[in-house]
Amino acid sequence: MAKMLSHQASLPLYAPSMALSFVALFGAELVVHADESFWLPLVYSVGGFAVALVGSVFIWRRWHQLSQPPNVVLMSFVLLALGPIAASYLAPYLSLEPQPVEIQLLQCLEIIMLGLVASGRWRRACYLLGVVSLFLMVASLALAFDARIMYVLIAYAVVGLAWLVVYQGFQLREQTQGLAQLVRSERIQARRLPVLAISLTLLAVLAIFVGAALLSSNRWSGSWLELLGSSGGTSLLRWEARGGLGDGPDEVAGQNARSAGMVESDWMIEDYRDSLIDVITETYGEPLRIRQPHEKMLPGQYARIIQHHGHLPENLSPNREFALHRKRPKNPPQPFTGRAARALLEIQGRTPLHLRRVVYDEYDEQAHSWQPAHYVAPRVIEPVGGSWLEVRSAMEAGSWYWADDYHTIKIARLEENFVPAPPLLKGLQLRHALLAEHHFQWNYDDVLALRDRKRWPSGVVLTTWCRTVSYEAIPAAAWLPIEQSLPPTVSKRRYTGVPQSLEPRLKQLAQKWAGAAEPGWPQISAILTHLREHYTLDRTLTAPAEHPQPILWFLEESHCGPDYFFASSAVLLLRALGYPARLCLGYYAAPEAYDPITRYTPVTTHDIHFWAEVRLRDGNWVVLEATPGYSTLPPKIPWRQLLLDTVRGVAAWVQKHAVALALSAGLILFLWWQRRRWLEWLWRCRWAWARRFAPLDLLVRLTWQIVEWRARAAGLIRPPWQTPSAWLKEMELPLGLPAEFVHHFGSCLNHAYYAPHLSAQQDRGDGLDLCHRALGLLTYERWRRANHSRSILHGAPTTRTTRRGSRSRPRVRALAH
Amino acid sequence: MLAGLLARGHLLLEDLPGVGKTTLAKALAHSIGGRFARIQCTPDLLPTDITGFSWFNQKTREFEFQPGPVFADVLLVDELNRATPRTQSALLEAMAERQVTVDNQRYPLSSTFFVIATQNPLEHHGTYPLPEAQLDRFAMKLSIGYPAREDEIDILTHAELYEGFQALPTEAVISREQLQQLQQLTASIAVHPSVRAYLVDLGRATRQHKQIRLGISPRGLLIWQRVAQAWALLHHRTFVTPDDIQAVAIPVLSVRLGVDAGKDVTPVIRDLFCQVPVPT
Repeated sequence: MAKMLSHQASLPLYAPSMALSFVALFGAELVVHADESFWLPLVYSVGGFAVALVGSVFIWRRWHQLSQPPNVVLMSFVLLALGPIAASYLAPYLSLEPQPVEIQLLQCLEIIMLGLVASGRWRRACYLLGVVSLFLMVASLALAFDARIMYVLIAYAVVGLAWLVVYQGFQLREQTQGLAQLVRSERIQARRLPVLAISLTLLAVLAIFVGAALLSSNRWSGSWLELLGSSGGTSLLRWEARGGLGDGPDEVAGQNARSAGMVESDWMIEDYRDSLIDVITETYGEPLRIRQPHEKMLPGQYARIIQHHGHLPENLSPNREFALHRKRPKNPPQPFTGRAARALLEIQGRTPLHLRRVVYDEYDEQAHSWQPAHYVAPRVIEPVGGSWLEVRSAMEAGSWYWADDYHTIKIARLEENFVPAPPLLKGLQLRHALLAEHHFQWNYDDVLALRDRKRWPSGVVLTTWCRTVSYEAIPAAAWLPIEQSLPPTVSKRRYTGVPQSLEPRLKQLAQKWAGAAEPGWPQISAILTHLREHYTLDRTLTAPAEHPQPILWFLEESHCGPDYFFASSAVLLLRALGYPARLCLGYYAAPEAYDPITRYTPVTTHDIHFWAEVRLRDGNWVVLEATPGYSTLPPKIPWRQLLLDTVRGVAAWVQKHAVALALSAGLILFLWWQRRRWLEWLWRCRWAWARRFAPLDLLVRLTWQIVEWRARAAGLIRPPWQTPSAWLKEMELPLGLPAEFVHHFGSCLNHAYYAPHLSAQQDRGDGLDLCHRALGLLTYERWRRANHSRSILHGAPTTRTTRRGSRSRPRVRALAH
Repeated sequence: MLAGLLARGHLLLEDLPGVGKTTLAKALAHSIGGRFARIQCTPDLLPTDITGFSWFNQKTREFEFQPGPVFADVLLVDELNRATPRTQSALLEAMAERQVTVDNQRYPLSSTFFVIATQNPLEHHGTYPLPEAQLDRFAMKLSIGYPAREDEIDILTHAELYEGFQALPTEAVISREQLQQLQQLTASIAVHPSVRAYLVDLGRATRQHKQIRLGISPRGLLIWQRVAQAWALLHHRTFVTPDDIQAVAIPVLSVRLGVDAGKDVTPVIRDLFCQVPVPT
């Protein structure tokens, strides 16, 4: 039997540690594969653990003579641990599903633990393994929503108890010795490693980033904070994103019996587009109608005429126009917080997010209503590998977009067929569903929907891939003109037309609000900012029925109203300035609704919302938010750009304050260079002040503080176990001090430090003279010469290397004598 | 030794045979004055041989107490570890409480009662190791060590003087009353609270040190402080400094710190000083 090495883990330590790590690994895999059955996590954990165990055999054979696991192995596993994070960035290119941040970190911890398993033959690795497995188990518990984790926890507790009883009980002494050796070796290791230098470097890097973030503009400084882990919401910048909502009763179908859902009679309205009648009616109120008997023919399998008196039931109305003249809503949406409703869908990813549902492009001047868009820009859906489908436009995308973003959208009870995708969609992937491009159709321009289906099945998980944009970065030329982007068959007036009766007033208002702003985003931003700052959102307010122009009523009289007035005004005002704009209706995923428990942002029927959109030169429509309290998705800034922005920001700041910085740096350098002189001056001032009032013992102590400070400046530090008088006696020869002075001043020091309550041995005058003499004799130059001579006599190092509290054996030996 | 005497502590001299332990003890005893007694410990030594015993006087028809050698002012106990534990225990009460109890009768000892014990560390055959309770009664353990070369030449030169202890002083250099005054003066040497706290911190460090099985007791701390006071007095100071604490630490602690067999206690004590910084 081979002799056991001193650094080798004994069996009572090795076996339970391995068992603990396996249980923790299985628990973590249960969390990672929460949607899978029991067997898949088991297979993964057994497989990973077996690979690590086999690796441990090879590693031990190769490096068993080392007292600790080889650094190359540990570093390899540390690098491997970065794999899950790297995979999240490469997910779209490798057809992988991007994982939430928490899961990525959990997987990192798993890999680190497997690295320790591979190095588990070393005693030290075994100790660390127990700690890391505990971390992993705690993290898994915090992230788990599966009741199965409790069985794993029980198993972990049982194995841990066995470990305590078997190992700690019978091997307590060995373990204590092992720990003592470990602590000693750690101390030695700590002395060898430049811990201080590494810590200072890290602190400096951190300080640079924090300082840059605090000193710079909000955009990129906030983006650094975006890097902090979050599965949803916006970031730490918005505290609301961390507040959750409670789920409540099912309100998707509406509370009104008449609004029990869209018309189900296929033979009456053969149209798969969502009607939105119930939701809009509940949210924004019923539209005002002319109360006259009339006839209406509905398309169907057979042409039927429904003869009725009074107004047509709302759910039988085939049109999808949106009238601005409406009744007061009976059930206006609640604020984002404190409401109870079951989600239509849940979003994981950055918010706020606008999900288009209906697009309106033409404003009917007579009916005061918006007409749904009919034109659909040519776009192609193509498979691009894996289960990803890419949405391609006929026109080439502009170069002003930022990094792509990904969202995971889980369908809960979406009784509609539109694809809840963010704007600027580039692609999508359906998990657990085999859908091809021909399963989709375009309901409206940029509004994708399921073909020949009325609703989404619950539980479908959709991953979307979209561009992000920074409005400031879009060049002015990208906003105009529309003539280059629309085909000749499409009436440009649908996107730029303003009602004739409103045009002069709207143009006047728009030009007034835009002021001298440059065309492009500055001009658009001025319009939006004016609306957001000077107008108030009131969902219960409606335009008076007798008012001829509800838009003007909102803009000039009430200055407050529901969100469709904000969006309509923005669209018409921007059109008056020549920008191609349209009105959109859809859902708004608010950061305030983020639920930290489920780590999803739920979207309910209350989140229905109107917003404006403007078409860019490349044919893409970007969201503009004119409603107060709503915002658009910030751009996702890539690392390279983030670093570049940081450097630019710091450089700009430095350039701006160059003179002040140079003066400050010069002053600091001068103070540092002359630090000994002005500190000496400060000490002297303090001593001179104390000389007048302080008792003699205090003055002696102050004198010694000055002397000791000079010694420190010269590189000599008094060992902590030596009294001042003893040290002075020891330094008598190197300093070349008179023996009688050392004796007298040492006695004086002893009295000042250890017998201040006793009467003084000498009168104040003699004591002051002695202190004067000490300050004159024990100068910085004398200490420096002493240090130099000591270093020549004893060789390097000097006493400076002896830190306070550290142990210096030669000095201790001298002490014993 | 003088510090131990002034601190009213008892001394244990441990060294190799023939280095002058007994000579030194006798010299100190003779120089103090007062009554001197010596016990040569052997395995058949009985407790009554130390404390004394009661005998029946047939003339007076009464029991009379015959005091033992413990009723001296200076008691030299030679080769203490050769006595049986039972006999060693007879000294416990005398050393700690300065009294003996025989036949339920308490007999107080001299107020300057002072024990100097010797033992040989290498002669394990026929010896009984001193128990911790016995060791804790001693204030200090001292070693003489081999003399220097010049000293050994001097010893050989004046060999006739050393035969029969002729070199010992014939008259005491200090009276019993003077010694009592000095001992009282020692007790009055001031100890600043910070120095006292330093002493306590050192004591607590002995109890937490990994290489020490048995740390110092509160009685040991008391003795350590008193010996440090004596050390300060011997250096003409009216107060104690941490240097005094450190100077007497090795003799005070080496007698009462429990370390593993065969290990030297001195490096451990040095390590203790490294752990506890002096108050400034």
